[in-house]
Amino acid sequence: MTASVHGTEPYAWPYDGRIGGGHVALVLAGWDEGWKARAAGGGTVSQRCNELAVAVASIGGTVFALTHRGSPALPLTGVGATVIAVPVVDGFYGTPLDAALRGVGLTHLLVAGHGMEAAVHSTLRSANDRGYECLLITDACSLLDPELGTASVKTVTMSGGIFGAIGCTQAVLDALAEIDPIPTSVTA
Amino acid sequence: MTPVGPIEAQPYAWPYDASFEPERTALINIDWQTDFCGPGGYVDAMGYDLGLTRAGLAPTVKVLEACRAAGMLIIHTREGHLPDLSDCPPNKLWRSQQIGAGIGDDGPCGRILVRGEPGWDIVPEVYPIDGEVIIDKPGKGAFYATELDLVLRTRAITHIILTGITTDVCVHTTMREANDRGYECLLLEDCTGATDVGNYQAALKMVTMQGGVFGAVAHSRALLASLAARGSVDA
Repeated sequence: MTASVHGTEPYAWPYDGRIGGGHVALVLAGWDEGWKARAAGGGTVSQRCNELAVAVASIGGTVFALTHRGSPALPLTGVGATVIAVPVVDGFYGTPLDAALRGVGLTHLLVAGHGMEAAVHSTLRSANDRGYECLLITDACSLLDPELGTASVKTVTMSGGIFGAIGCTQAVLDALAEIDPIPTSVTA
Repeated sequence: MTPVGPIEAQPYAWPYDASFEPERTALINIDWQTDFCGPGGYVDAMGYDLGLTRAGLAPTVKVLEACRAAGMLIIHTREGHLPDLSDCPPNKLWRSQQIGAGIGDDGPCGRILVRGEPGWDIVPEVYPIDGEVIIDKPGKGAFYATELDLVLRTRAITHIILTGITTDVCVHTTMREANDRGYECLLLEDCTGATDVGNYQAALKMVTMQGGVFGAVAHSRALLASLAARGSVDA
């Protein structure tokens, strides 16, 4: 059985029709006070990211929160996250993120966070080059410059999805609600 | 050698440390390949206007000549995959097939985005000469899964000047990677282009926002004037 997130562009994400807690991770880039303060509309975006984190965790998926340049992590309510300290802009450079994903078979990434043009885009680009199947959740990203929102999104969807696909929070939440959670391990 | 600069750029006069030494500066020409800017290549097959990706080619020819004369390290990059596509992520392959330009498929200039094919090679206007570095990359960024960082550090390069295509994809990804690695980067606005004008303009603004989050942007005439003033460009 295949599954996909409704309304994603330029193709029904993910390309292989596989959504499940065993291989899906939410990557929240720019998840710190510094990036949030520089972006517009950060409060609403933080709330959406929190909802996504709860939904991803509910199917057994993993949540990664990226903090940059020593800035304090933003809070997440009702859900735990693996915090990755990033020395620069791109969440993959100089961090254990790639190993943390690959090591446990996380191949499909939901990408959101603060600073769509900067921390989010750099992390998305690096994830895509590494072969991860990425969905940029556009309404769960804050912008540093509102004029750059259209291009930040269009750059992803060019050429059949050059960095992956784009979608919206509610569609992701709806899709995740249809997924059976991974059975929790049986304890003796 | 005499340092060069600073040169007029946005959002600050480049480089941040006032001047650059040509022998510690690399010119990186990104993906001036037939697949992206030549007739019958990958971009042409997708139906985009080749004039947009070729717009920066003529100014880049002049910059290339001047940087060679100044003794800079010249680096050329090419995106492409091994003939058996073993280094091509399955989702990248799938996406290319969906739009009718499948990686590895036969196109008018050989197999699309495959190393060694005519469409993959660099266009004649800015073709590498003996002694210049060529970086073959499987992705958009020139640093990931390549020897680029090692080459730059071995030559003690601290400053990078970028040209190439496309601005919002391979050039931007590489500039972001270089900036994160501590290189002081300058993008030449007239020596780059994209398949979408809006994306080109936004990509330039993304460099200059926040005080230059990924470096600076300049017109090539500012670089050429500084190099000429230093007397490095032979008449």
